[in-house]
Amino acid sequence: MAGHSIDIRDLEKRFDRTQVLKRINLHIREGEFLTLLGPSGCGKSTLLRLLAGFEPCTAGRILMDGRDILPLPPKARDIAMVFQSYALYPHMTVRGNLAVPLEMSRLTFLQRLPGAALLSPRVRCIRKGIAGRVADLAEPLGLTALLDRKPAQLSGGQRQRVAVGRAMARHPSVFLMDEPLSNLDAKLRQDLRAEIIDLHRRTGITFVYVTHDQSEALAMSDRVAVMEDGEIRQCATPHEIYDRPDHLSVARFVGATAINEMPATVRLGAVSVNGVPLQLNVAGLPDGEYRLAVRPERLHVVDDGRHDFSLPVDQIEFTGNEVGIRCNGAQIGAGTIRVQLRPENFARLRQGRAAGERIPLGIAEGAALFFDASGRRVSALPLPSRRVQEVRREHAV
Amino acid sequence: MARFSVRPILAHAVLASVAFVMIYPFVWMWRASTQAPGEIFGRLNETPPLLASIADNYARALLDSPLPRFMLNGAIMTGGILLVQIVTTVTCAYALAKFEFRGRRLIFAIVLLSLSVPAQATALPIFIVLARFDMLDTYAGVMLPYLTSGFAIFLFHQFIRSFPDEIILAARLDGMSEVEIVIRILLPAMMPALAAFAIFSITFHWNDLYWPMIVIRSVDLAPPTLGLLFFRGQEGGDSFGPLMACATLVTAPLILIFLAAQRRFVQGVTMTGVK
Repeated sequence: MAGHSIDIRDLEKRFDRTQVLKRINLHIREGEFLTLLGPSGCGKSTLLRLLAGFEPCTAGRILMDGRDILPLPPKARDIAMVFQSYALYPHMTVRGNLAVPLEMSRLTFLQRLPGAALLSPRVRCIRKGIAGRVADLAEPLGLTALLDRKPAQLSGGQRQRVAVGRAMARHPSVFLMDEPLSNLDAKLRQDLRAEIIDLHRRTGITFVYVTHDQSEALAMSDRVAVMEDGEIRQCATPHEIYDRPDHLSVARFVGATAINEMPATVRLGAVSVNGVPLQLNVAGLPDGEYRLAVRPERLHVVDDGRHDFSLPVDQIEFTGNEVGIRCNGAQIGAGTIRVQLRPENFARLRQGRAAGERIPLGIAEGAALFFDASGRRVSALPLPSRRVQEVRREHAV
Repeated sequence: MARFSVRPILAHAVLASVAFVMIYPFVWMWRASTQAPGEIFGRLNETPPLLASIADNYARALLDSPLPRFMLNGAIMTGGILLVQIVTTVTCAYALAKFEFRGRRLIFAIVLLSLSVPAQATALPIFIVLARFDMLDTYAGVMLPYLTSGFAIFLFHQFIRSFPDEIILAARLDGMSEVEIVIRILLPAMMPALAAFAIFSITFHWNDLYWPMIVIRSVDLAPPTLGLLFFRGQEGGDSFGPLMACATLVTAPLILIFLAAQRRFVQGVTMTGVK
């Protein structure tokens, strides 16, 4: 069971006059776990449906291991799919659901007719093989005891497992998943997340996973393709997506706590926000107006006087493993500025301070991200050069 | 004392009286089929025992008249119509509900329009066509105009439209052809809707007198309703007992079917359009 690579070239999709996908270019490596991440309506599910072959595309090509698959119907594409609603056949038992793809591929139309097993020993033999394969599928998924139940009698997690089992039945080379966890409660989602990662590692086939949950995308993927308005904004490893977003919209979409934004002015490499000069020096960035963005955990409380700005505290939230501070950013021309600290750091800081007081904040080294007026990131900081090249190369592909 | 409010009593009184009007003819039919000739319209001095009258009436209905033959004719026509109707309407409804193609809205509009055309309006043209093709006085002639049904297409369309797309996509991905999707996925899921429609169709065609009366001439091919008419004509006026026994026997299958399928029927009628 080896995965296929998928090459998407200049793919476009149009419904009447709305352009849902605009010239998508994406290379998915064989055996990779790639996530399509984006808000609803960004075209990620449409892209998945084009891969599966449920809808024709308007322009472009999709190559699987170099072979053009666009003319092929869904069943000939060597793919399997798990749907958001699981799409189990409601009137069939778990056994029946798992057996359908096997019956369709191993039996001819005549052999599938009811009663064929009574007449032909050959059909009986194939049916026996199918029953064995169903048992093999059910066992690792923990479905053996549930084989005679109907989907309506299963819990959400069990239905999801049946859907995965049915998709695995035919040994696909590419596995498509359309928000398979979004109908489950938080605890179960965590467990099944681990199961899916495990499944990917065990089978080694190519996974294309669609979700709007950024934490899911970061936690599970080899690479994440962030989509917006029918375009891929950035495709990179979760680390790069989080630390080095190419686009302001990517920076805003990714991250459990919203990224801090403020307007910044650069003059001869010196940065100031709303007239407040920062400690930063950004050589190589042309003079002008930028959006400066910083992750909440990359803002530090600085006591030695070398802070960038000091802001009044609005609110302090303790969530167990971290402390969130919301500051009023009016002084630096921004809205709320969020700071995340480890509790032990906060305890040290806490002495003599309370809500309403000002705290001095500094931007961690290398954490400031500059975006130009069109929202694109301008690389100003001396990044570790190897990483930059990697990002660029992936774009070129 | 319990609180008697006027409204529910009034409502039940209205419902009960309407129900009485509906049920009374059947009660009368059953009672007449259990009485000796002459007893129905007046009081005889010595009434024969009830069981003797029942035995006499029903024996004459089953043995002296061609009623079994009529019932067989009715079963063949009603069953044939229903089977072909399901084949034509489910496929049509599936196409209208789940496929996007040019003219889809127009076709659906025509289907809905056909619901408002009374059968009488098309009777003469169809009669002429049947005459040309020499199909008068045959089973096929009775069945032909009813082999599809705008009502069924509409009913099934509503059901299939609410059927999840993803299940159909999954079936296509598993390798099923569209025909197999209809047979293996849709039909089993549609059982309530099918049962509801089957009741409508069977009741209508079993009881239909108008169209068989136009097409059928020979007694051998008559469905039960038309047969009863022949039977009454042959027997003259006084044999109401056996006649009512025939009527009871003709009505019985429908009542039995309805009782058996009642739950599914109600389910099917409420289910379409709710989702």
